[in-house]
Amino acid sequence: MSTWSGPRPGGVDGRRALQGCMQALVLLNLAFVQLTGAAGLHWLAPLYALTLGAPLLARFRERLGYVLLWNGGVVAFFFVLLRHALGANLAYILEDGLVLAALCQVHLLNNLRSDQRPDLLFFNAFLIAIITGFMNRGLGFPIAFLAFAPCFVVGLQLLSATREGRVLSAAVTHRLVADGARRAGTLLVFSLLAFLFWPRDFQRKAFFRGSFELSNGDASELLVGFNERLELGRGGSVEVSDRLALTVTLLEGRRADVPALWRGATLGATEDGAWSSLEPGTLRLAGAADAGWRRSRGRLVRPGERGERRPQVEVTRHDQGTERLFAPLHTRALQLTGEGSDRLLHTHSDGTLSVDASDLVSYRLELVAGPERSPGGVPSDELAPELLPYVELVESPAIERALTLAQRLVQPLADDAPQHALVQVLSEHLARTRTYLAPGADGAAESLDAFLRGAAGGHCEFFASALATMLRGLRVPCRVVTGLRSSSWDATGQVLTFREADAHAWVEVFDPTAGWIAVDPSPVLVRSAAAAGAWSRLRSLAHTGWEAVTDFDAQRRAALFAWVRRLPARAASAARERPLHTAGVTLAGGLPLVLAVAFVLRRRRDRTPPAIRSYRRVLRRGGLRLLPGETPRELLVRARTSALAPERLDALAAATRRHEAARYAG
Amino acid sequence: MTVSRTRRGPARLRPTRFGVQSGLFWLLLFGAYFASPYSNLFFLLLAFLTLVLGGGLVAQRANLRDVELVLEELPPVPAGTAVRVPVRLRAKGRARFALEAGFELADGRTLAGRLDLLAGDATLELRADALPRGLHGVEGAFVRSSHPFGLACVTRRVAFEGRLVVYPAPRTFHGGRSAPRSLEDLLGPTERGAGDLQPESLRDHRDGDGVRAIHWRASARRGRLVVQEWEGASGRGLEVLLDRRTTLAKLEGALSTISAMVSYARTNKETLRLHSQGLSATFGDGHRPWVEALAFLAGADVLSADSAAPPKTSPAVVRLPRRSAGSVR
Repeated sequence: MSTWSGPRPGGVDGRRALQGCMQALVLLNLAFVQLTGAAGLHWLAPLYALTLGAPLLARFRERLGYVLLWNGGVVAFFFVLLRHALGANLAYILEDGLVLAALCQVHLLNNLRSDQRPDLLFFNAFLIAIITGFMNRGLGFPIAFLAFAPCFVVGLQLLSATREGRVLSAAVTHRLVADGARRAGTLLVFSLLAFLFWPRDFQRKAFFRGSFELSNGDASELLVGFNERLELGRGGSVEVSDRLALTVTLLEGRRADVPALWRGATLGATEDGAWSSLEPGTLRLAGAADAGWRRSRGRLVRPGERGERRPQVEVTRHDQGTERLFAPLHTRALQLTGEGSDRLLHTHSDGTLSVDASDLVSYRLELVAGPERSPGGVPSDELAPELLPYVELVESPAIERALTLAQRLVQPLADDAPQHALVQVLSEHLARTRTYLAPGADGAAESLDAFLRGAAGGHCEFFASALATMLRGLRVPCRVVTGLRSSSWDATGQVLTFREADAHAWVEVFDPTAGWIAVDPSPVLVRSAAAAGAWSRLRSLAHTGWEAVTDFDAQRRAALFAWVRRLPARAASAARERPLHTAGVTLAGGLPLVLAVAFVLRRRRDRTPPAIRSYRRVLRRGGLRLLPGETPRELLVRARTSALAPERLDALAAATRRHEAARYAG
Repeated sequence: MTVSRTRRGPARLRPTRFGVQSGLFWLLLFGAYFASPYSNLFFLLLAFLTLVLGGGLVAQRANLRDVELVLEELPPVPAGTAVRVPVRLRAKGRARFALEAGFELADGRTLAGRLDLLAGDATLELRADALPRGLHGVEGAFVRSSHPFGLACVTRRVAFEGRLVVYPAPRTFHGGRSAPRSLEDLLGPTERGAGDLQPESLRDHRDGDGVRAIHWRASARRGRLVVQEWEGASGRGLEVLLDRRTTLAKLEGALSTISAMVSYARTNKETLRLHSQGLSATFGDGHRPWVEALAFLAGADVLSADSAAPPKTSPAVVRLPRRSAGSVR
């Protein structure tokens, strides 16, 4: 007979457990849809209610009125979605499709008859999870998926176990659910390992790239990436790409001398909340303010950059969708390397560079660690002609507000305060008083005026525009710059990585003493845990962990491999150098593991009745073994004919009696 | 008795309908993964699904590994009624779920049972629809499972040669009667005529004795229930002669009667002496085992009229099939 303890009274049988799993899956599907923002809570609330009420509605499933009402409702909902999709010229077809899939789930849950199998519900549930992964990268997704995975795995097990109308007892269901939960945990761990170590192309383009274009030209989808024009207040959905844009390998010098801001284009002209490059003629005139490029021995040099420390780097372009070459403000020399080196380079008066073909792969830069002289000059009323384009403004309510704000902020400063101090006051005010919100986030400003009023937060473009507008209002020459910002050095400290999502906008201010200097008014995106409690620290930690997953790439994978390879050597080295410390760490890490293993073994032991454990112990001591199919009593008879010591034989007889009593008498 | 570990048997994997659907779903997602730009989350979820499907298949094999099927001689089963045969399953270590075990008969039928949970060991009742009388060859045993996800059905076959004895369904008769009286129940008035049995002795009433067997006058005298026993009762056993030179219908009737006699004799620890063409043996304790008698009944065929006669026996021995008027042999 089975050694298992038997059914637990009051448990949930297999069919009810499966129903519960399906209900949980549909609820999580609705949560996924809600996370994407494809539908608001007012749309999803009835679906939540119908899902939660599924056990109640189950009793009406066979009734004609119920069926008619349901199907009528589904058709009506479908037409509403269709109207919405067509009304937006299919711009939101993915979102509408997702809502439709969620509706299907609720429909399936509430309309499956007892003779129908819910296989489709499981396929659909996973499909919704995958589509959500495309549309949402927030912390809500992993939380929802961690709940989804066990429900999915346990549900599949229950689905398999209850096929063909089989009925599971509550006790078997309990064991099956526990088995499924364990399996889900194992599968999640293995999935993570596959994610970390499986070799793949992180830069892979779509196989049908460019073949399909669901959105029409008017559809407002913001792609977070480098742009040569800056336009505030664009609405619509936002796509954040974590694709690699640029890697910078340090060849010579110190990592600290490589700046985080790499410019692609300067935007000196502003009108109606938009920033763009100066007209070529104006740019040529204004170019006198910049250190120009000259060709020298097969490379481009800027003699004007005369700083002392000169780190050298090699830049590899990964995203070649732009012809702009990214380089820090204080770059002294550039040399093209490898394939495409014969391409014609374009130098611009503002010190930026572009290349005719976008297939240039790499180039070398000689950087200068900062301006030759420190900023500190006092602003002059008379500006040089080349700087005049950098103080131009076209009147608008936003500019009025910016000017008022700027004047109020600089009022406490002395009249002879250096320009640098003035810039700092304005920049710090913005960083301190305005909320940074990612593009497309709820509550983001739709205009510069709203941002300056403090009515809404915004992303880097708002901060840069606000600072540049205020500075120009005070006749401080400045321009907005678009490019990339990153401090993501790899573990070796030799490679700096830029992604498309690292696209950034900041301001370059012309200092009377130091020339152009970069000023970044955006608050540093540190999920600060300093001022927060344990909950915020936990959230910050979760965010960091989740970002490690979403931003995982070939370099991080290589670094992980390198770390794993070095681990034994490092452990051995640490053990040699600091034996006590290593022993302490090993004990602290190993003790919980040993305790966990002991706990599991103990639990397994506890499942076997003591009498049977004792019987096995007596067998071991006597060197006996049950033959296949042999009963303990038969073994006892066999043992009596053998040369077993009398005391062992007595012990075996007693153990056999206890075994039989435990096994059969109960 | 044979103990077979399923680890040693060859495994056959047959995808289920749900498995095929899941495979197509996975292919669809795999295609979508390559049709779209690389995405970490898509990869992670696809990896999870791949592991669910692949791990499911691995787990299926593991679910059958080291499951022991204790195969013993199959007990004889009566014809015409649903078959129930117990087998023992054992598994060490972790629990096994949704196991199906059974025997494959030579005629393509299966005798199978399902166990939702196997923790340690358990007895599983194999079932099949009613089988016709006969000796059904068993081609092998199997254990199969589609746990955990039902993507495929993994079957491990276990070599087993044997036969399933499906003996004729016994005719019903009233229990608690003496052998001659029971025979009368079975056969009606014997050829020797009703009432030719003589009372032999009286004994105390026992559970199961029929009311008609109670000797009321003696009971009244002794103050307790007493039943009358008749000559030919326990101790001497039963003896029957089966002549198979008859029609199939009559043979089936005769076999059913003898089957009932076997049942009676086994229950009452008596012996049965059975004579037929090619057989003359005594079955019961200390004699040939009952299963051989049942096997003979299961495999008995009609013989042609010119076949050899059954062995000669005393005229007092019950002869089956019974001769009836107009039926002359």
